[in-house]
Amino acid sequence: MSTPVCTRCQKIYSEPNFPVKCVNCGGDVKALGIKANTSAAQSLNSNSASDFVNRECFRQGCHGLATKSIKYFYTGKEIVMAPAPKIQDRDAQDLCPIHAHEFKAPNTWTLVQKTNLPPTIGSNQASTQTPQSNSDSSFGVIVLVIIFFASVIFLGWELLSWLFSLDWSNDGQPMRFRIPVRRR
Amino acid sequence: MNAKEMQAIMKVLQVSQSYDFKPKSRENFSASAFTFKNATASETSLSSLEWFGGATTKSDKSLKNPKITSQIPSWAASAEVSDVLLGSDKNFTGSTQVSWSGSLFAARFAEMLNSLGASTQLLVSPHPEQLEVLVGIWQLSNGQPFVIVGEAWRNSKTGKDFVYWHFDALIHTRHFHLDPNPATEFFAPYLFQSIAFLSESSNPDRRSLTPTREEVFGGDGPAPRLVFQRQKNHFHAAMTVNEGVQELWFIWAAEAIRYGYIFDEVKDLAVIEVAMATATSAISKAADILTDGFSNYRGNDDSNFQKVTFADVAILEEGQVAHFERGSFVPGPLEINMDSQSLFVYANCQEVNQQAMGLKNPELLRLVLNGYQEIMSKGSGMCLPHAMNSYVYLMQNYGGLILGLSDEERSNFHDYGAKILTYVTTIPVDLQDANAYSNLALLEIGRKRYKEALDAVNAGVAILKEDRLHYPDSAVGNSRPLENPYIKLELFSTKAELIYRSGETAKAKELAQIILEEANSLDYSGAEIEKVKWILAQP
Repeated sequence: MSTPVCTRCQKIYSEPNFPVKCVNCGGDVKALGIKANTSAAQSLNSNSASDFVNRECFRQGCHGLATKSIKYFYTGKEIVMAPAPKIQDRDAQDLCPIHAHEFKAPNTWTLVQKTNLPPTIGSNQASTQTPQSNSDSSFGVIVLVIIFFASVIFLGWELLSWLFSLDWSNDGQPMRFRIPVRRR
Repeated sequence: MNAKEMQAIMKVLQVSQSYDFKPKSRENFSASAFTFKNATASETSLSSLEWFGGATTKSDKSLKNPKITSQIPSWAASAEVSDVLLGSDKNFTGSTQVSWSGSLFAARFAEMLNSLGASTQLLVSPHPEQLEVLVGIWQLSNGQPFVIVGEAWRNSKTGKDFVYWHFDALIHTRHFHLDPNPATEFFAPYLFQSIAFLSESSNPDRRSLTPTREEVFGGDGPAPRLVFQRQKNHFHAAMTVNEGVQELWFIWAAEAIRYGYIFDEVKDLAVIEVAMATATSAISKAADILTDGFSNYRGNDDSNFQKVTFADVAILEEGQVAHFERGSFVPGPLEINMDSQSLFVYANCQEVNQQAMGLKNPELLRLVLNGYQEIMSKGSGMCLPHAMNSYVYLMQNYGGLILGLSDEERSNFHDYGAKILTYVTTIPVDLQDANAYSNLALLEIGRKRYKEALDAVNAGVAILKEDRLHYPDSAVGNSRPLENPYIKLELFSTKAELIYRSGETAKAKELAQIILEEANSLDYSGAEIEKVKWILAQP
């Protein structure tokens, strides 16, 4: 999570356009990535060089490099925001840090923060997720999709094997229909 | 913690300064009669000058301080006030306040009020004089109760008594920074002049000047004098109603401007019977107008209540003074509501802080610090010094341990923390000024300024020796040293540390031994006691 905080007095700025200098104490305001549940704070500057991808912000007229991507899932009226993937997702829109920070979901829609953009096929799954779910749930969705496809391939293969194992010859007998029997 | 959870916590740690108020009609006058808009209308100002009569003074003549005159907005340049209302606190010159029951005139005044249907009672004021005052409960037009106070005064020369029948019209949430102050010197009287005219006039809807002021007050003699008085570190009387039970509180306010009427001693009180009823009714109407201004005029234009009253928050830019020193004006009748909002945030901060300490969670701790900052910037009342001390204490003791601040970041905080504590040393609430000196001493030791640390310790100890037993308890503490042993023990353990650092080991050990014995007798333990144990263990 990235939060602008004064490094001197620890004032948190929740507004999108936060000042560079703290209005209370004059200290430097920086966006801190805060790790939860650690015994000592380990703050990291967000938007490090590795966060940026070589694509421009989707917003008209903005040429800032993108750090986040958003994707709309219409069935659950959810918008998923996640770090911009290195390979562009055709269904997603890339946003620079400023526009990502400013981005708000329209009325009746929910903005969901995730660590990965879910595939479009998983839109139903995305809609059933609770907002702000962590990477474990995204991983679970991917595993479920893989298991589903593996099951389909396995069952298809078994069906084909069974069909090929049947005796389809009619031994010269004229018959409109014949039940195949297993070859010996 | 995700962003939603964080925002939910931040929401309950925000101080709201709003109050929902809709002006209502009073005594068959329209609802717009006793409104802030009507009071600040130029026609009302002109009529009010005639109402009080006599010589007048314009703002540029009254305000000599160049710092102030350069900041006067155009609308205020032509402001004009009747001379009888400027410097009206000179009415108290040569007089001393006496106990209410010690004045025959005051006692008869109370009897007359009761015969008019008022319900009053005698209370001992918590101010240093500890004198009896008369208090009565009246209501705003929306039913909100507020307190009108009567004080008995005696003129030293003539020996005659007079009664000051008043309410705390405006409370400034911090001490004033400009002296002389434009609000008390000119702009509060300017606003009060119009308010008094509307509240006293027989027909405020038509801004009627007839009958005259003297006639409205009975016509049997001079009308009571309208007097405003500034009070610093004032204990403001307020009423709360909880499940039908009324409770009267005295709560600390940095500054107050009192508004009321002086009734001179008369032999036959029947002469002032009408005046007493008119004045009491006028005070309630004045309270309505101020409440409307505070509640409904909060925009950025010139009608903003804080701008019109010349509060520090309106005349001092951000950065000119520290954010925790820029006060705003709150009408006296609403002060208890605003203080309660700060208290609510303070209680939430305490609760989240317990979780933060238990989990050693930096995010939660940062939210707690923000809650305290909210109170410091926008809050008011008796939890203010508690919040300030708690904020600096947490930053000093847990900035590194939980927030993970570097040594450099922690030392960058010292100046800011010292400024906060220095301000708290001027607030005589719940011994928090002594506590601030104690925290300041520890902060000075942190930056190796031992002489300043010793000065702070001595100043804190001096406060503990003061007689403050009559100071009112707040909702979160009191001024009794025995019930706040940690302040005394921390101050003296810091003193022992400073003596030890100066090389006088034997003297330091002697003091440490006394502190340890006192702590044991109180069955008290804490970080400061560990410190004295360490001193005693040294060779």
